[in-house]
Amino acid sequence: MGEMNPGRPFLADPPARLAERSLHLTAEKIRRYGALTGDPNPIHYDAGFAARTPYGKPIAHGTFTLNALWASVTATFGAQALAGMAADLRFTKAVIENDTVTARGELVARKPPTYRVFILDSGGLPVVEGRLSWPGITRVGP
Amino acid sequence: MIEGLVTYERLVPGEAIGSVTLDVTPEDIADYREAVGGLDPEPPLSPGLAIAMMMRAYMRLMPRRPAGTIHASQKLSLGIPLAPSDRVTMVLRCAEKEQRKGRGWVRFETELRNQAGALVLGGEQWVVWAK
Repeated sequence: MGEMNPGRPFLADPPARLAERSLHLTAEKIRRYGALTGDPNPIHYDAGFAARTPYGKPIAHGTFTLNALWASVTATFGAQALAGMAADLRFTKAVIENDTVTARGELVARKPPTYRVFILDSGGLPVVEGRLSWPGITRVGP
Repeated sequence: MIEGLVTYERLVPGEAIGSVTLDVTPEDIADYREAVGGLDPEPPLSPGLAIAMMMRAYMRLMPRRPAGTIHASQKLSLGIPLAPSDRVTMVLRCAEKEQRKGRGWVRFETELRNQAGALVLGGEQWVVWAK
């Protein structure tokens, strides 16, 4: 009974849930991420500007919140699982600065391995919803 | 690159917006790790950094976008991980646009490749374009 997924044994028996990982989105971290991406949008940094928007306060970049998800996959399978992975994600709610988001995932298919994933804010509301899968993996295990 | 304010009307489905080449510097890696605060403890580099580089390239190719533009969804295909000192090139293309409930939605396609031409990141994003 050989391994049918050489190089990716970690996906042969995917767990029912991904390990949860959280990210605290402080104003300083948002500012640093914004400097990294070169995003000048004041909605992320300027409290006065944000006060005049429906959010009321600065919000995190959507792609910044995704880092909780990459950490969740890494904690579950190891960093080598990220190569070859596909993600289909919707940003469903803005995340206010200084909130903490938590990534979760539940296995919904084994061939290919597919997880329904969420990133939740501290109130338990989804800020990101979608799926992660490994589309090249159609045969796992014996 | 699109000079000046990028309005919905200026975006043409099927047309390339441009490409930009970026170096992954030690400062980028340090900034990324500071931002995620210990969630990226070991090599290989997280796709989160590749996505940040993708967003940097996006900002450079369309530096003046209307305030209030919203990133609504993101598809990603992860290739080989970034490595320190990589030089990556991103190509950005407007793939599609449509009106939904009176708002302009734009789908972009992105591809980030390293100096060897290997795919690091393929992406597709829908953006609600502000007026």
